[in-house]
Amino acid sequence: MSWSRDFVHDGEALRVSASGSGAEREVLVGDRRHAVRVVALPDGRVVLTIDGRQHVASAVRLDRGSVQVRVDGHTWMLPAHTGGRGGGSIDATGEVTAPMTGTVLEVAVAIGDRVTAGDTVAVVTAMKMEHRLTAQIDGEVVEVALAAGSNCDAGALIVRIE
Amino acid sequence: MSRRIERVLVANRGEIAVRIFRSLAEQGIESIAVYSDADADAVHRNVADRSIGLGGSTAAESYLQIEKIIAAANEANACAIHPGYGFLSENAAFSRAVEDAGLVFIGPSGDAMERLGSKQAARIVADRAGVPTVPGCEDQGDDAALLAKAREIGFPVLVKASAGGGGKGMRLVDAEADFLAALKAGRREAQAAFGDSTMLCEKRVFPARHVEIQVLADAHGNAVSLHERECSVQRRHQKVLEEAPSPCVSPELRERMGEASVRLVREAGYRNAGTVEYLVDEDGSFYFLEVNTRLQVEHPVTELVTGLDLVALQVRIAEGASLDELLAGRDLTPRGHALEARIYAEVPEQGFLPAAGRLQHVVEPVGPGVRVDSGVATGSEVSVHFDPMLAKLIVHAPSREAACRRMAHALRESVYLGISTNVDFLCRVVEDPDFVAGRLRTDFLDLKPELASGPTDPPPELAYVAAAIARMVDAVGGGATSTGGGPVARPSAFQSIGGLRVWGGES
Repeated sequence: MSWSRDFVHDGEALRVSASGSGAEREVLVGDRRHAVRVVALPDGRVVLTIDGRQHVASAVRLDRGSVQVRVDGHTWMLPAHTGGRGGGSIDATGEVTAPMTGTVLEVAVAIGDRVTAGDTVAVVTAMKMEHRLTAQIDGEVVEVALAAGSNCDAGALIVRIE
Repeated sequence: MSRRIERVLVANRGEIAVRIFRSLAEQGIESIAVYSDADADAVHRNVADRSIGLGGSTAAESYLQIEKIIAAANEANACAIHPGYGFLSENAAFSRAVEDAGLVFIGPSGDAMERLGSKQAARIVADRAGVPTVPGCEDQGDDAALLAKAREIGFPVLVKASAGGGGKGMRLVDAEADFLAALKAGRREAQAAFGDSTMLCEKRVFPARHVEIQVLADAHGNAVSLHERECSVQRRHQKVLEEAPSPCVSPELRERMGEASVRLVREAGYRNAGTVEYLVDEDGSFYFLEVNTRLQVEHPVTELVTGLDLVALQVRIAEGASLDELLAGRDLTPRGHALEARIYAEVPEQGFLPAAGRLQHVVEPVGPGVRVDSGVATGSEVSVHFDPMLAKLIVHAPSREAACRRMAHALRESVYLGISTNVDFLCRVVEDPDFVAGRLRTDFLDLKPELASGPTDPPPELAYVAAAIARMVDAVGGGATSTGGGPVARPSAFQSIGGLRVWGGES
């Protein structure tokens, strides 16, 4: 009875594992040990008792092993170390991708253009609204993968900046 | 003429359909749901007395198909159709088609919708009713002429879609140089959203608060104000939090705005529920913006402070009942304070981009003064084809501060996992000191971008411990969060073995 996952925490790899059975479990976060008492609620949440304090939690698995966890009334996205970006993570990257399935309305840059983080790079429509996509990094446009008028799937590359 | 309505088809989906079914059931009225292919497993489809498929996946192929909806109503022997909000609810052709088919439309007539439906037309009615309006100008299809008029009004101006709301087609134009581009983009959005690219240009009233009046009108020429709601906290001109009563409205202003609203809807020959929207500026002057000729998303806050069921009243009005009968002897003065939070599938820290995917785990809060109007459950698919609102969390408490505390707690108790939602963002807003103090304005969120971006610290140790345990426990087949289709959670392994807990397994 065990579980383990490698996450990316603050830019570094972090291994988390859990073991045990019944109500008493142990969790290892990096090299820190935590003794945890567990009760599972009928609605799918769990109650963890750590150092005498109780916390209600729930967690689900997302793409490529990332985990979305809610505990003590806050939700955290824990990206898996395989590089999965999960929904809503904000790693700064030179890839400007479609946030969801829609249509590319405008591509505001061309290969060779220099851009600064925050510059509008493209506009897509989805759910009947226009969404402005911006460069996350400073750099030069090295690829324009889709033209205005093309359909795009969620995650499709539109522009690459280096 | 009074006719009892016994069976109602709800031409809508999601939380509003579920909410309407609830009132219908309480009144002993049979309910009929309609659903698109993508909504075959949706909550709303499953909680009505009967459900009829419309086929299709996009709104245009399903919930906007007038003929299919009327055919479904006839097939099911419905007496009436409730349009909900959005979709066909403000479509005059639909209202007429329903009546022509011998059914009752639970809402205003097509004529009343046309008189009030476009912002331009509504302004004309407002002027006739002596209701103050925002200085503005109409669109005659000539961009240059509109620019000239905008110059007269004085920048900054707002260009907005005459045909609809929700921020679609709306742009703030600070300087003349930006006007034509904004108008062009606005027309494109408006055409896509409403099939009508007519724009309106108005002076920007700023800083201001968004205050609206709920009205009810019967078929006998009577109309009544059910008082105000404040909806100032918005992002991209879409409401995020609403409340009743408004912290900035005195009893005297309430009366004046109520009277103006009643005059306006009577001038328009309006019937059934409607909302008159205003901007209130710092001096307490109010300016008419538009009328929403339907039930609004945020109607529950009015229900909680007045003790009324607006959907039930809509049905009774559609049957021909008079307001005197319906509201005789009732004290409509707002009691306590109600707050509503709209729970959206979106990423607040990325400009509130809509999110889609499967809700793997949903737990909604319960408790005194807590009401959840939801269209989702564990397993629900959130699709790109429809509005990303999952549910409305509404609280009621004796005071505004108590309502804020109740809302924060209820949000913390809420679980919507599997996609990104705005739940934590909402919690930050209702705990913001300016929000708690009632210092609201329409640019509230623009002034506080940190509320959207949220904490930038990496996850705390507890998050990893909780993740490991929750994933490990859920791995025991059949937990509420394990994959396995359908909107209803299967009982977990330990439940089905008569209370004996069984542990083990990996994920």
